[in-house]
Amino acid sequence: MKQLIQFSLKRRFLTKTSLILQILMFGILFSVINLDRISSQFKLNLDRNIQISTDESTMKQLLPLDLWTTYGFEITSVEQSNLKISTDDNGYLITSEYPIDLLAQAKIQQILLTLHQRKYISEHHESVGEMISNYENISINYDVQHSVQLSQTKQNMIFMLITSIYFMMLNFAAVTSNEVILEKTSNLLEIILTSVSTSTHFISKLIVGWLSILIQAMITGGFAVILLWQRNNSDLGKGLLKLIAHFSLIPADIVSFHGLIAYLEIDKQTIVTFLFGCGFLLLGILLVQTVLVIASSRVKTMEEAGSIQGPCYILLLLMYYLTLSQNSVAKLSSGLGYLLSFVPFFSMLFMPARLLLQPVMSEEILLSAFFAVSALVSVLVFGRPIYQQGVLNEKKAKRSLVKYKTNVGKV
Amino acid sequence: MIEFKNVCKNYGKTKALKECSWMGMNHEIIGVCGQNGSGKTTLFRLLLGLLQPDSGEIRINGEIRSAKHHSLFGYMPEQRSLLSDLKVNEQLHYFGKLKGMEHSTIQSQIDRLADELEIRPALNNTIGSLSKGNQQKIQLMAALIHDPHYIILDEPLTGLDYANVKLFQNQFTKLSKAGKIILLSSHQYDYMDDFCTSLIVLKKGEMVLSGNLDQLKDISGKCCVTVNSDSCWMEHVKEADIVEECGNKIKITLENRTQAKRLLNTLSKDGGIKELEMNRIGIKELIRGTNG
Repeated sequence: MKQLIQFSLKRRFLTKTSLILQILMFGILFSVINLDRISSQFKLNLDRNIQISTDESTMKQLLPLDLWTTYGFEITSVEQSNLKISTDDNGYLITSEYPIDLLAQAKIQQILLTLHQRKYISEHHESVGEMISNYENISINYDVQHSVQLSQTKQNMIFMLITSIYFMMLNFAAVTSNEVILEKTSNLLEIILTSVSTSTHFISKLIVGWLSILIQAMITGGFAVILLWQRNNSDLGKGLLKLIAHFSLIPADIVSFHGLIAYLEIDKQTIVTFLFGCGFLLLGILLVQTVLVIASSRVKTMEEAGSIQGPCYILLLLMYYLTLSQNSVAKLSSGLGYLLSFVPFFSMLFMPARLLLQPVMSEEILLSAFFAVSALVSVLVFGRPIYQQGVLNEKKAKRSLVKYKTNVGKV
Repeated sequence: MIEFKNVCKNYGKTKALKECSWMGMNHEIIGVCGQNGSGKTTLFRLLLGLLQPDSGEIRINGEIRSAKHHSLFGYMPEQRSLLSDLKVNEQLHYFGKLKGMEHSTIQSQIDRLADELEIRPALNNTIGSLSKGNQQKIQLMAALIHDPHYIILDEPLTGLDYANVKLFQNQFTKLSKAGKIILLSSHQYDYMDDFCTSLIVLKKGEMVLSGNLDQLKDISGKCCVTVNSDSCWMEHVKEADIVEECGNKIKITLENRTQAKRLLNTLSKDGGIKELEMNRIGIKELIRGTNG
């Protein structure tokens, strides 16, 4: 088994193509971590405010300008602007070349309402400051019956991380099944199986899949650590964090990587939730990988491989979108989302989603894990003879005998 | 020693091998013949442990065939089973390691076999860049890398030129002298006649003929007379079983030696005869006799 694993890993990671892909990966990570610098180098201005132009008469209505700046807008000349605000008989007219996104629309609406409010107050009351102070002191409190496990930012970040791992592992599951197909179509498998048992070969392929994920994760993680360290030494990540904050992913007051780590408050609870989530994800992916490897053993040509993997990818993508649609406390506390968190295969995304959003009873976690492990063991046990038959083309031999009989009959 | 005792193998309702019994001894080169789908590959796969018999026993040196016998077998499949992007050395090292060999032992075996099969210059080339004949040699090297005692070769001579066939034959003979047992299937019966010592003929999964090749030929008693002549001599051939054209020559199979001698005497008086010879029948005629 050791030789099979070594050979597969060597063919996967120590080839020219693999080296080129790793360099490409490094390049992509470098670009992401230095996105702010690259964008300024190419004058892309990714963090530029939305430019607004206006005419002289409307300008008076839009003052003070600092309110616009706070919301990420900038009053500028007509040539540079993305949209133009003017007044007509009905109120304001906002002209843009392309449709404005909903968030920008809401912000503009809010600013204009605020400005009008202030204007109205200033016209009818002497003490504007007092009135504004009264408005701002309105107390709105939320009384939530069930607390949420983690903050929204943490939830988003962990969910993004888990779904990234999900797609990365899916890719490697398919690579493993492709390897079985290659060995089969090149007839190499027949020779291999004269040295090792089909079970050993089957298990080795699954291990290779897992080690590949681990190695790739380590390589990518290593690249990321090196590049982040380099960026930290350079400017503590200030430019990059400013850019991320511009896209509303983190608060604007975080100006260093240390600040980001402090903000995320990575405590024991966060780590345990993440690890449990990963555990369910791994079980699910292992199930998918096992099914794909078994299915691959029945494939006779490389062309056929796509017909097996294609529907599988669509199914997995659908599950991803289904998880996104159900990713709220209400939907995951009861109904479809709750139910699917116990169903093997679905539990790989639904249970982590539940763990991130709400406290889950340990009995529920154990039950879901038990179902997932049982499904995996069942697939392994019932799939082994199918795999054995498939890799040795027993059906093919059967067909050739039938063909022979027909020929004899004709003679 | 290999022993098959009433071995049966079915694929669903189709019987691939029926009550197959035979014995292979050291030093034997056993030709396994039969039409496509007669059960040759199934027989090989059972021997290699890739398949398990539905009934009967396969014994290796008196012991029931099990996983511990894997390393005793070397196998060359009918189709190429090499990765075309790998270098010859890399591919052979992989096969050697799968058999549990040390790096240095593998290298010395590669060097020896490369010299014997005259392929040393190709060792650092990728397999895809080699000719079909050279790939065949690599495939044979892969089967022999771990110095197996039982060597199973499925159509090893297909696609080889005459020089390489002779090279392979010499290798088989050498291995046989070293005490190995070789089982090989081929449809090139003329070549097989030159080096096979035993024969197994399969027909629809049934073993219709098996045993020592010399003895089988003796038992059949048939003889062949080969004639190359310009004159019209066919009128002399009355008792011939089969007349077969082989280029400029005509091969006549006769029921027994007496008939063959009589024909030989008659034809020798013909002035137009260029070549005339009498032989025992070959594998082809033996198989034809079984309708296999």
